[in-house]
Amino acid sequence: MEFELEPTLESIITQDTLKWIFVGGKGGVGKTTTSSSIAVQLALTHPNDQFLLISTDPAHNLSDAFCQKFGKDARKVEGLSNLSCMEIDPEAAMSDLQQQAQQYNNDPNDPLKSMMSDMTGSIPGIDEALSFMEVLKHIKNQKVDENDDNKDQISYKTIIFDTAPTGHTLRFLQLPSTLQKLLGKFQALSGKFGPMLNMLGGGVNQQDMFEKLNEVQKNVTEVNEQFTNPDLTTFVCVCISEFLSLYETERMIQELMSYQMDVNSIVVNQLLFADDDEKPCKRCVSRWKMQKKYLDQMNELYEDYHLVKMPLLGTEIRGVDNLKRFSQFLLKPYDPKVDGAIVTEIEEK
Amino acid sequence: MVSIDLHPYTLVVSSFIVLALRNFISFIGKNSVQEFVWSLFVKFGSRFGVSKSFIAYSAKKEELHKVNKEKKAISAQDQYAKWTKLNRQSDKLSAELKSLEEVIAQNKNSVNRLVGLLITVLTTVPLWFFRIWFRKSVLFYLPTGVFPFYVERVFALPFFPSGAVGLTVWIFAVNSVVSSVLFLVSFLFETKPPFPELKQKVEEVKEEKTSSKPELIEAKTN
Repeated sequence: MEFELEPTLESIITQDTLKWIFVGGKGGVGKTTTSSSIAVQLALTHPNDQFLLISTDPAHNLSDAFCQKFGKDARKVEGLSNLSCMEIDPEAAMSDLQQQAQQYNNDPNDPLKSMMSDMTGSIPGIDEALSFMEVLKHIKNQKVDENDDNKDQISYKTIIFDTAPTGHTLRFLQLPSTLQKLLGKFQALSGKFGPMLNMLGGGVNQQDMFEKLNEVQKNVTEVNEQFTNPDLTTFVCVCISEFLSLYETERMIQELMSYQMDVNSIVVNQLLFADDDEKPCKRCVSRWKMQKKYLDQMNELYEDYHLVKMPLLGTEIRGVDNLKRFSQFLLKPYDPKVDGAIVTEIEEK
Repeated sequence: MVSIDLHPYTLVVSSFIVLALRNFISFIGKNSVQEFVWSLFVKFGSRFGVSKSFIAYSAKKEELHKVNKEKKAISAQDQYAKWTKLNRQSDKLSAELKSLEEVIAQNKNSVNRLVGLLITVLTTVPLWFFRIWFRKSVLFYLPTGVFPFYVERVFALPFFPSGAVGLTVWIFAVNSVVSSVLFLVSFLFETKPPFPELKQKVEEVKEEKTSSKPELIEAKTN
């Protein structure tokens, strides 16, 4: 191979145009650590810009990763003034939305009353889309609030998403055309039957409904345009060097590519690097052999990806300082001979 | 005004042929005709370049089979890269096959529609045309004295002079004769429908009953 991509995330960290970075993978492969590390590195590399790290995982671990409590609203990380974190439960945002819809419409005889919940129940991807819209709206509100408080414009340069392992958070990207078609139908229907429903006593309420749907459609189109633009959005896959994890990663990459999303980096976590251990433990050596086997396969398979290899450390990586130390290997490949000390040096918190 | 002048016997023969065809088609079923034409289309269409999608489809299917076989032959864990590449290939092929299937289904639909239209044009339209255009023309006259006058009157329905035979009666007669003949012929080749085997079921139930009620029987005998 004459042409090989450097095994780091440098291109992502230094790329100036990126607005969204998604970090995804199956549970337990180190998504949160990786997304936190990326966020920390971004914040360190661009000290003059603001960054936001969001976890949409209902089992929030950002608080644990940074040893600091985060909530629904963005809060700055102590010790890293240009990085904020927030934890959102998309399900909760969704139920908020439904409650809102019910508030709109409390006439028990209105035929359109259950439309919202029916719709969210019947179309695959639309509930994800709606909940994602809610998350985005929440982020936008966040900015507005800060504007009011600080009187100077703070907009986040890049927003890093720590996605939930179970939810196909981005599944709605699959259905932009379907959604648009459907919403177009709804619009046509509202044009045709709106007056009739008005006569039947539906009132003005469904006008609000349709306006809301139109708004959703507009947002979906906008978001899709942004997310399929490789200059604005990228996806970082996280995996460990084991068969099932690789298999799931492959499937995820295929899925993301079907959404026309840009994927060019894979972070392989929890590698043992047991070659040069002074007192080699048998288990580590044999497990490292297995990991190397899969790493070789990955090198062959993902030639045109940045394959970042991260070591498995002695303890959990928690706290800003530890994250800073760990995350440098996203930019400079980990060398077990030189950097081996970090494995045991990370202090527990 | 266009006038079509046919010899009455031409009318007799052509209406007979159309009716026979119609009865025959309804006997074997419109669907089977369509299926037959479809199979001809599949077989010979490729020669005239009509059904390119079939060639592509069968080639892709064969390729998919090969890829799947290859994929199954190797261990996913030992040769992950190779296996995944095969997997990607097979996914791609499956997607292509699916789209081709849709094309083929569309083709089939249009062929079926065409055949249905052809059948209608061949069997229904001429009859309606004859009925309307030649509603007043006499097909032939019965030899006098063969039938009694009331039979002749019936044959002359709806409004012909006694002894004449019009299209209405002719169509009716041909229909009944052709369907009788078809019935007679099919009767010879008909296989008996298998008699539903109730026996076993009854036995099963009996067994259950006897097994559940031995005490009762014993009590009765006592």
